[in-house]
Amino acid sequence: MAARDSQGIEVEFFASLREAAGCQRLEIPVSECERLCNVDDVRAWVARQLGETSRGALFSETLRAAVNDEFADMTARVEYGDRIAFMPVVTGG
Amino acid sequence: MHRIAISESEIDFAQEVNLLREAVGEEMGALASFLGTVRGGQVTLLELEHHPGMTRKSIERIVGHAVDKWHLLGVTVVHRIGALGPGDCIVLVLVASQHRQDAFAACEFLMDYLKTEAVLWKREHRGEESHWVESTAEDYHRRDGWTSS
Repeated sequence: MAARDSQGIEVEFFASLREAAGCQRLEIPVSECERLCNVDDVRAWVARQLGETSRGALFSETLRAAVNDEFADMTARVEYGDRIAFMPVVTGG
Repeated sequence: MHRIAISESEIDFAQEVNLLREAVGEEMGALASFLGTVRGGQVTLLELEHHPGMTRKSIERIVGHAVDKWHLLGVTVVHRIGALGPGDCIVLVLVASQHRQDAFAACEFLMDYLKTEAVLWKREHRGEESHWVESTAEDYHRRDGWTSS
């Protein structure tokens, strides 16, 4: 992905996760990123920021995550400038 | 020839069939189609949400699996996003092949995988109420059936 100016970590939410988060995206500032090693760390950071109402959706067993538009496990490493997406199970057709 | 489109506009069935026939040419001996529509009755609105960077790639992967599994001449998948009403087309799958067995099987395979693997979400409205639609156990069962066949 193209590096963004801030080089923090961008977090996006889709479908029911967006509703639970109350926003489409948020930016984790560079100063906070050093302590975030993997997707699970990002999830915990987001949960602290958003508060109790988002916890159920963020820690649901069916939560899926992506790093830079590729599905990723909670243990996947994250880097400055990454874009992390949290979403529920998908269903097309 | 494989055509994948994520569309906010109505699906033109005849136009898509003609495009595929022209692209595939006279080698084609079969064309199977599936058109999914919004069921009427209690559903008043269906909202389809996609991921700008992932939805198309997820459908490309599904089509790739079908192309690996059967001898196909061409595949078209057009998936709607946005707000749809009862009777509107949600998805069109066209499969062209030399023989009907490949076209029928691949068309069914594509739909079973689109149901469970395509990066899309549906919100169903029934009057004032609405809920997110999830894949059913039957959907996963049908998808998993292909791995054992």
